[in-house]
Amino acid sequence: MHKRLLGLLASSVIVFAACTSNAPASSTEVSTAPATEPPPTTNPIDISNTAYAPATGKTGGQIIFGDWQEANEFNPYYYSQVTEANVASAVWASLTIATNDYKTVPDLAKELPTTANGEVKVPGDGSDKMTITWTLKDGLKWSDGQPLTCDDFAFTWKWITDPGQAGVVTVGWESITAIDCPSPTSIVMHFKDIYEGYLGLGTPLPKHYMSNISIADGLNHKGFKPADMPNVPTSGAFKFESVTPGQELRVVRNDNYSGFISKHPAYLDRIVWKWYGEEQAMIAGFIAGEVDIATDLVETDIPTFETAGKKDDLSNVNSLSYEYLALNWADGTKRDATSGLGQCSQNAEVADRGKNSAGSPCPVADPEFRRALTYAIDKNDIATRILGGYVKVANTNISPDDYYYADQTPATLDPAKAQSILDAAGWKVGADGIRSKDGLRAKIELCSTTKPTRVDSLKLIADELKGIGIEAIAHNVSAADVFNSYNEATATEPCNIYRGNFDIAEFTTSSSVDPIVYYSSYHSSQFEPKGGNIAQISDPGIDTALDTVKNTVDLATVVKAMGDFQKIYVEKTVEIPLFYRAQLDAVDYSKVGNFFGNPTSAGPTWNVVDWFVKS
Amino acid sequence: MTKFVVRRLIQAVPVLIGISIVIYAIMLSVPGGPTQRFANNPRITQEQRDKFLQAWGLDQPIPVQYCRWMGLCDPNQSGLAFLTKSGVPNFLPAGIGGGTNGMLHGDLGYSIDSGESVATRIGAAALPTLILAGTALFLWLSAAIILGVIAAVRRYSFFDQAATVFSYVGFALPTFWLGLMLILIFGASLKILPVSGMIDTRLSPPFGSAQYWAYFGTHSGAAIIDILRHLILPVITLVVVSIAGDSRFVRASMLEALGQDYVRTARAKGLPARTVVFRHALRNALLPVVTNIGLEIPFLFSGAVVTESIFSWPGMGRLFINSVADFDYTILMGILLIASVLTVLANLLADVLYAVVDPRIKY
Amino acid sequence: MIPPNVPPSEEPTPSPEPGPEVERVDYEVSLRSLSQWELVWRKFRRHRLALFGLGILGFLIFVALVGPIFLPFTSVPPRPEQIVITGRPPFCLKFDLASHVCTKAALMHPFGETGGLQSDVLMLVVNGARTSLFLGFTSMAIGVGIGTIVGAIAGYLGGFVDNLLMRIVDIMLSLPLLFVILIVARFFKGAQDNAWSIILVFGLLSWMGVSRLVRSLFLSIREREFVEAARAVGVRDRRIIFKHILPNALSPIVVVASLLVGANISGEAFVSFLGFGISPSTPTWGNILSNALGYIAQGNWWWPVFPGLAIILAVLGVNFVGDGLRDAFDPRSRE
Repeated sequence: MHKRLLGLLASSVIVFAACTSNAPASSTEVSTAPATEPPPTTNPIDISNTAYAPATGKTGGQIIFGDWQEANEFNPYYYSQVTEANVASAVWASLTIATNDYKTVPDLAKELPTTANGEVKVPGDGSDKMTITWTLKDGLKWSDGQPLTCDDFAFTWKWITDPGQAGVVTVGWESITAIDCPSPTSIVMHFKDIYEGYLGLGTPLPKHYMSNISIADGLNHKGFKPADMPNVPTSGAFKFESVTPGQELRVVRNDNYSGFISKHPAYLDRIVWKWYGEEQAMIAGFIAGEVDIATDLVETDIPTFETAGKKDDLSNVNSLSYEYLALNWADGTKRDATSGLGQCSQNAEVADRGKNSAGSPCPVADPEFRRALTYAIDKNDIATRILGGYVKVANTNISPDDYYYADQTPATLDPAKAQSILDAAGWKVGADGIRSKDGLRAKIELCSTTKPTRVDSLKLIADELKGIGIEAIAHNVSAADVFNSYNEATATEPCNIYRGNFDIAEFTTSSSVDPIVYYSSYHSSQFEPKGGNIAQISDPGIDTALDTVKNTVDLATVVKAMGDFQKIYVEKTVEIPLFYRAQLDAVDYSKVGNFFGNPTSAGPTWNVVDWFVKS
Repeated sequence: MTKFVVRRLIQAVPVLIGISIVIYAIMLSVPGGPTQRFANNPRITQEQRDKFLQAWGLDQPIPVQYCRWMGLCDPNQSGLAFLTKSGVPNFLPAGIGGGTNGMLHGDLGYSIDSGESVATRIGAAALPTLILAGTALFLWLSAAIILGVIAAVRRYSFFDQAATVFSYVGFALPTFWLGLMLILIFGASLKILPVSGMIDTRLSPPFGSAQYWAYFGTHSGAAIIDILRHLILPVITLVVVSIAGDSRFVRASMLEALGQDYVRTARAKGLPARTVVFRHALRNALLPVVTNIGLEIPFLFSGAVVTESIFSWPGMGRLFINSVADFDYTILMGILLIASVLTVLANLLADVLYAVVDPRIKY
Repeated sequence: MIPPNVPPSEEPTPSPEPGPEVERVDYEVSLRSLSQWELVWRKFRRHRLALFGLGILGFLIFVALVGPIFLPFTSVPPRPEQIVITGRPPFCLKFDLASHVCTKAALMHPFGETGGLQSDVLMLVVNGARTSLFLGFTSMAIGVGIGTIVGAIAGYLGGFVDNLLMRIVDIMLSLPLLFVILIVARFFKGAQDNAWSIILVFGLLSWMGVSRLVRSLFLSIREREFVEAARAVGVRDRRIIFKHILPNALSPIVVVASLLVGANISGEAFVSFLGFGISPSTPTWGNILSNALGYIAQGNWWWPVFPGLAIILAVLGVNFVGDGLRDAFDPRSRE
């Protein structure tokens, strides 16, 4: 079951990207920006010229898609698991879609609104900070034949921002003051803030189906229960045929939808989702031929496919997720006893490290201490010994495929250098081989979940740190403790990251195509519970860069600001990324055509409209 | 005896209420709950989570939640509202002004995960579990009886000792390991037996649905064979692990019976061994075994948890594991309640059978 | 896995009051009475499987005590010459993952290497013996101890006390193992660092079956003549319970106890599989076995097989000894 919990959490992290960036990509290309911004000096960045060109297939057939977590939530704004995101991608369409090469193309919209074609106005009309005009394609219909118009988008906005709503990401939508519908295919959004993730604001809900369901009832799944699903009108390539909890889910072709590139309805008659109870059983099921596609795999499963002779059936794309060591910047001097704000690890095992003269019991708060860590930790060892070399070592949190990625000089493994940095910073080696500075012993807690690869990597790291005179206690606790939400955790819950009860914590998080995401994680105003800055990072240079990103729609400005951010990220050792995760799916390529893994929030089912059965 | 049974049945009511209170209280005081699903999404604010809890009534104090779940309190008013708005006690039927919620009105609530009614969901999972665990129970009992009888009749023989070893080895094997090995060998490697579920997805609609019964009507033979093929591996897993307990018990019981004076008399009379064993000893030996079955009934519903999970069998065990992971309180309470009712009834049955079998026992 | 219930009674076997035994020896005639325990040991000795079981248990306990001295537990093994994510099979220096063939053998790792960090499986199994055996026996002791006392009181006193205790047993029996483990894990944070939470959970969940068994035995035995006689003579209740009835009820309890040890040892594997096991920095046979799960499909048979064999051996050993004791306590079993 830990696998289940972990899988839920790991995949929820990936959904972090999904939920945080309904905007798969950032704003439009550079051109006639308002006079207040300096003219761009870099080349315009085109975010919509995708290389995706699906093959032509034949109509008919069905494909069976296996997952080891069941999807229960079908409202596209309520889902919380990757498996639910996969189903949603197949049945709900949005204004835009993120392709497998990180580009954004229009789906329900006719074209992307840009400042060039006048559909993005900064500042906007009247008192708007920003006004965006979308033009829908002609003749859009829901799967039940009702027309899909601007009214549905207006309804969706009201639905999301309803004060009685719960469990919905309102970021971006709450910046909209009004949505006008000059014509059924024309949507005018009035913004009171500049929200540069606007391209992601666009999965319409069917007004004619949902307007009779109160928000409170909707929270109790009214209208979206398993028996209701065949009646739910959808906008995407497929619509629901049947939902059998505990066993499977069936969707059939929606003839009222045309593909974003291929411009025709789906080839397949039907897709069947089959729910497995265990990941290993699902892999065995794929090898046995019970399912055509198996998803939600991890890197250590790769040899299983090699053993079965099915290595070529693995779709392995770079994912936007990376595994990293979060370094708790808090120095513990201003610790709030009830909330835990400002604390580092409270674990009794490290309590004997004492305090330095400033009253801080937190060695990791020392920037030189953190810097030394980067030279002492052997990322290659972790990537090869524990992950079999199936992952790519990461030196920054930004994926190299993101358009704002800026190369940094990677840290090299150099324990001698680590030692000299510590010596120079005043961490003197004691009689037992462990360093201390100013009365504070170099003793820290390493936290992570009980996943076997993490147990192993914490062991390796502890060993390496011992070699440079740091005593590290590895502590693997259940994911339920590590990730327990802020309100439900206590200040001393073992290894809880939201309360800051750790010195170093290892887990997975995501970067995103949309850089607005980093604001919540790295800005000093975003400590828990307000934001997601769990490592309590506070740096003026980072704050400036992220403020710039938040308040602009100009791509070149974003690229420059993110470049600054990444530089500081390395210089001040904000955190230590270990390796990029891979997004793995097992696909029977002899049967399935046009499958392409997609690391963005759209997921592997992004292009189900083009899937076909090979004869 | 009748007085005893009636007394126990009456006592069962407060016991069940006690069980439900204990389980409910423990379950709801465990930190972490259905909002765990939001735990990893920092963009869902605490405010959003609070509203979610409110929508499900989970922000109320535990006694209030329990009261509403039982059907004693009106959920439409705040706090412990024992009377409905029309002033009638809530636990009375709706027809005369009472409430419609809770156990006392037959309402088990709705799943937090999917919104489906708990009764429907558990009902859909009950039949698969009955099929799997029922078949396994029948098979392992039969095997245990055969093994136990032979081992007792040929005590200390090679067969006896081999059967002993075999059954203990089976007992020591963890179900999850055995299940996975069977899947890998017969499913992934040899590809002769299916790996998951109850039916072949490519051939038939999902089990239990209306389309399935229609399909079953027209293709009965193929459907039955389909289910049988899917039953083989999970049943083997369950049987191997459970034979040991019962076969040792049968053996001991047989030995006891074979040592009785009436058996000696029968032998002295010159009756053939087979008659002695089967007509005289076995029938008496089986009585304690039968009483034992009563206690294995709860296992039918919650014991096959891991096996169902590994073989993706859509039964109560798997539903239970999933709802524990997701903190789907309403389904959990439904399953635990059914399990406890069965346990109480099974214990009662076993106690009654003890007294029937052994006249020395007086209540 | 914990058996769904403990067999409520292998029928109680009355043993006659101990009396003098005549021992025949060549050329000598002597009259010496053997004590109850000497009788039991004699019968036990004749039971081949039981002696074998005793031998296995002794061997395992010896390994548990002495083994870690020769094979101390290292959490980070030295970097192996060949890194194979699946680990290497026994006696293999160079392993080809694609063809699953050992291209170069060597005298090392007789139980092979684990996946991941490639620790020596023999070292893990030897170090795991301590915790696993300790866990099995201690939780059995707790369960049998509590169960016997509760069952004895309920069975002997009967009436209201019996009813009350058995209804409490009913309530406890309704709590599924998984549920209780979850609760314990959430309430006792940090409990995963040592074995005591698991020991407690198993102990607290197994006493109910024992108490039902003991109760039914007592209900039956207390009606016998010798108990009536003892009461008539004026023996106090407590003495009757412990010195008169209990020794007669011993044999089924012993069988149940041996089954429990086995169930607890393999139940620990189940709990580890669910993710609530003892943290891997303390190896136990159960958590070694469950960590191996993700690698079996890659052909790694050696990682789960050896701890599995250890579990099987322990269960066999303890159950053979239990069988032997049961037969030894049974006066009707032939020597």
